[in-house]
Amino acid sequence: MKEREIFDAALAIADPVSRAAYLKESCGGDAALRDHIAGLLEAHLKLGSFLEMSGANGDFTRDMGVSEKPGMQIGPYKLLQQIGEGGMGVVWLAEQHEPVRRKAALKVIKPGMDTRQVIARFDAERQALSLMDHPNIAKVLDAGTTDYGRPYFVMELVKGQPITKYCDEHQLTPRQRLELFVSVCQAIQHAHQKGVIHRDIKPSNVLVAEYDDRPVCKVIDFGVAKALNQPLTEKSMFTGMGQILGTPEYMSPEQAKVNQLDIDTRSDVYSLGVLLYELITGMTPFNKQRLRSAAWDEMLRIIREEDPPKPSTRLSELSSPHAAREESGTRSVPSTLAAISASRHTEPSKLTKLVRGELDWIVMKALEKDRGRRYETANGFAMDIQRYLADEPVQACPPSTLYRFRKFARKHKAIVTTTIATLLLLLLGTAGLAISNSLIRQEQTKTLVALNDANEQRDRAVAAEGETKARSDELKLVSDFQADMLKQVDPTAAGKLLTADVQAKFAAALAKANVPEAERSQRIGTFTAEWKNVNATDAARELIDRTILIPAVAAIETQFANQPLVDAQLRQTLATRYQELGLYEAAMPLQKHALATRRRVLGEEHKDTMTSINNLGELLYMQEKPNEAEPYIREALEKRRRVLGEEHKDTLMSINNMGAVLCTQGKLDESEPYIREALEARRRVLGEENKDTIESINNMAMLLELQGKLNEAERYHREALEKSRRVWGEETPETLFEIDQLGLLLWAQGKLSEAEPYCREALEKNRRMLGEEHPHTLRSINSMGILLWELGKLDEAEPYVREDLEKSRRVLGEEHPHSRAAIDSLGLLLQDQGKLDEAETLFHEALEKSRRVRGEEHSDTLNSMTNLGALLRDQGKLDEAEPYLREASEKNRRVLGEEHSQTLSSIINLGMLRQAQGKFTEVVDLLAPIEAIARKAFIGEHAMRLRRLLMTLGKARTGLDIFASAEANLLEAQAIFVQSRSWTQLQDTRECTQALVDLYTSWHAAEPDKGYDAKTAEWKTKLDELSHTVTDAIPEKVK
Amino acid sequence: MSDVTRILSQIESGDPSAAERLLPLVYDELRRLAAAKLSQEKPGQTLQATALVHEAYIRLVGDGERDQTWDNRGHFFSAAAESMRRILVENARRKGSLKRGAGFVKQPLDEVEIESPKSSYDVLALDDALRQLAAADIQAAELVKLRFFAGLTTEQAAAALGVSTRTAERIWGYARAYLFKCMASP
Repeated sequence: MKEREIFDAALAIADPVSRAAYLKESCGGDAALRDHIAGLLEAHLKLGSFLEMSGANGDFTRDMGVSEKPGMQIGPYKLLQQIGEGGMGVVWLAEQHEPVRRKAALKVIKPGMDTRQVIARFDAERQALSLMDHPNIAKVLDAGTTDYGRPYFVMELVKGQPITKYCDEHQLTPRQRLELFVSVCQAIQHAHQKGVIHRDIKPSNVLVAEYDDRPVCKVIDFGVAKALNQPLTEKSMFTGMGQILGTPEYMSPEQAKVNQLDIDTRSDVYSLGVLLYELITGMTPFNKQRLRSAAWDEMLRIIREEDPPKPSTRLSELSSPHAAREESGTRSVPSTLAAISASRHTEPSKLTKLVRGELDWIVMKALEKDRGRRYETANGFAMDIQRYLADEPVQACPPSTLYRFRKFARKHKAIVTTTIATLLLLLLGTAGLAISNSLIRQEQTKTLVALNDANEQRDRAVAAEGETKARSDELKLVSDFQADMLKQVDPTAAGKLLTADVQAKFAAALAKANVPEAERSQRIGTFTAEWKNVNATDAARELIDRTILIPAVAAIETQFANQPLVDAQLRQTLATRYQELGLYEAAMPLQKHALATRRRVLGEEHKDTMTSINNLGELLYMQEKPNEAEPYIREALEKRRRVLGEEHKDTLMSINNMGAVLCTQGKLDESEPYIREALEARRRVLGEENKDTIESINNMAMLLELQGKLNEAERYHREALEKSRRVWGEETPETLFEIDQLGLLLWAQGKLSEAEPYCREALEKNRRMLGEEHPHTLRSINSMGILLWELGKLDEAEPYVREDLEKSRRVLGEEHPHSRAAIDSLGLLLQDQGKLDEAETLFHEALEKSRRVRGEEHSDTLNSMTNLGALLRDQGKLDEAEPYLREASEKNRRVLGEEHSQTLSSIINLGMLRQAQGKFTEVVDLLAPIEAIARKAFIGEHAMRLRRLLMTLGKARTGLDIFASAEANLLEAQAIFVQSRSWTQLQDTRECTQALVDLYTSWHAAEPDKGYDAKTAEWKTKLDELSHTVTDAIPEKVK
Repeated sequence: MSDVTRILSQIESGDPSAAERLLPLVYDELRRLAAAKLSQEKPGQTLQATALVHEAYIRLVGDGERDQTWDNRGHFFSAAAESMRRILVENARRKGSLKRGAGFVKQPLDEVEIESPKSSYDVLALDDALRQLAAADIQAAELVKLRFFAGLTTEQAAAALGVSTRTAERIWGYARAYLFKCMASP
């Protein structure tokens, strides 16, 4: 039933008890729906005339009934006239008679605006104002609620003019203006100390009135003020609707973002800077007309990115007549230098000269895009102005050459990205696309110019800094800055940009080459289709390597030869970046170099040295060389414990890494205490919702999984995934990794249908986000293949498994464990498909590699051994199979323990070999003792292993004439039904039926008068039926 | 026949693309009409959204064409209601962004003001709630648009939606409760 129908029906029931009963029944178990509808019914009671029309024919008249009118009385206040209107409230000039006779400004919420959200905002303003007590801030006198229930508050009445207008009309000199402005800064400082940010400082909110013939500023309208420390209302929700609050000309760059959560007091410092700019030059930094006429996004971009001219530059531009016209007509702003100077009681030539220099710097420091470079506080701003007025040296200073370089590079980050796209066009020459060569050359030249320009700037910057000390400090800045830039390089985002850019450029090139319309759209279509075959993320990764990382390495070598620490820091950053991109080989020399330098220069126990030691260990670990990684990880752990203490974040990381590396080496018992200690300490020290903690939860899960404790592992995996979705976010590699892990675990538990959606999600997102050749993508391809295969979709699985092997070999190298695992997988798949010879070759290869790379006793090696042995046995090569299966089961027992599922599997496989060899007693000796454990271990989808065990045991007991036990084993095996891998099911059922026929035949021979011949006949019939039902659906091997 | 009348009869005869062409025509007409009216009015004057919609109807479809069925007019008002919703939401957004001060000095009006129906509900909050309602029950949301933004009576809206008046009343009760609940707990 639809929600509305339930609502209607419930509404018709008057009795509350029956109504509740009806709701409960009709919503079924859906408590959320029930609560929702109950909420609707409750709302229905309160509706009143909400949204109702007053006229019958849609003829609207403004409902004035609840609006305030002049002459109306609100509390002790009589309304005189409306003097202003804000977003949510109306301001009235009001008169008070009792207890004192005075005029005041009364602000009341507009009729119809009194939603909870608006009331919250309104309350916030009232509270913000009442917190403050400063001569330059309008005071709150009173507050209350009107007869209609709408809140209002009463403020001190300020009979003033906007500060800019006042200054112009009274022809205040620049010095007088500055003095007045200092008091504005002090008022804002007071607000900041009370935890209130104004967020909308502009002339019309800074009024000037004269008291005793002296101009006094009053800051008004804290309507968008935001609480800093304390909640002004239960929920401060000023930007709840994503509105941009503030006024464009005065808005700070950080305010000009869609999500304004990150606003602090320095935003007000910026707006004060704009106000000062306007007081000095008569114009705002950005042209009002231009801002107002720009499209929304463009306007925000200008505020965020464009650097305004210095005040003196702005004034000198006014000397040219066409520039002056820009501003004219926008308001009563004087628009010629002569007029501006006149209103400042100053001669035109003197004004520009006065402003140039220190005043320029002061204003521009307040207007910095990066708020970290602005004045820290409004007070700091005021003090620098006072220093200027007292002819003391000011804090603000002209930007250094190096600083200009930094700004240059920031501005040109966009060029770097488009450059990548241009270069890609060159690389794509093979696609046979007709693109105007001259166009490419043009772009190329532009690119080179941009790069040369950057280099030149940098060279000049470096050369300009003379002193050695200063130089090293500055170089540190450069390296920090470059490190920062490198961190921001994101192949996924670059890939998306690339796609858009390349397609746009292609279309433009065709247009330029005058290709006819019809042909053009057809070629764009073909190109777009072909482009889809290119993985843009991979392309971007490759290009990032070529265009950014490789040149960066070269630059380090030439530029920082005498600055070993800067050199080491940059190398460390690059190594980490390469590692994050999955380019481990490229990372290695950088990492080693960085560590060697730091050991030499900083000493063994410096924090940075320990970081590099740890990182080298991590890199080796990522390359899946745990034996090589271990000494570094251990060294870093010991040093960090000693130097940083037990609970330092870095120490905890090292404990975790130690556990991880031991775990990967297969030393599970040694690993466990580290993994547990890291998890426990991280939960305690870093908290539950922490990225490091999530890592530890995941590692705990992995360890449990390797120990065969799958149900426990699942709990941790689910916890890790759930936390990761929340903490890292949905579309992050970390969350994808967890999805992948959970999918794999569910698979290991035999919950195939539960695993499939996770595996698919992981693969699809990995391909898209990390690229086709990222190691995580490879692992994901691998799981997808295996999963499909387990589900019996052999033909669907094969392409994934082959893709995995091919890519692993190419990307990770022949000896990488993933490549080895991929070989295993393909071998097993081929075996199931009946392609036995190809499978055998692969298994030999896999085992040989695992022995060399992982060692003789690693569980992977033992697994490969079992695989090879089982294949040889199934091919009938019993003697060849023998040593592999024997060795595998012995070592599994010793290394993994009696109860590990891999141990059990290897024993069953050995038992099957003994059965094939006719050594029945040995079969029973091997399999009977593990029967009980196997019943517990092999449930669900894995029950086919138990079926193999019982079948083998039953056949052996038949051979030993232990008929009754054999019958029990075989009948139980026959009854085991496994949903997945239907071909194995059929194969096993047929084998088992045959075994039953054999059993009853032998049993009849031994005890001829017990009627076992009838049973023989019965099972023979079944066997015949089975061989008829074998159809095309079953792989070749089974037929 | 005007363009709009032709499109209406095309919708009538089952041309699915015709409805798409109707919206921009009506939207433009409403904006044009509003701007023209404002230029004749004193500054600070506001216009009534629903009055504009009805005037647009007369201008575009014509009062004299009595052969227009209600079903037909329903399409027009549906487009008009949607247009008006967009215009009001845009205005509200723009006002939010270029918020005028609440100081002593009254600022001149420098943008087209169209008064939202029922004086000044928080149009953006209503629009948000309306979007949620549309996800839950598209017909209910459509009814709200027709009644609230295009100013149709229950009978007219019912005819436009092709439901009985009683049903329209029931939907209206549900929709108001839904919107009220949404707006009371944002």
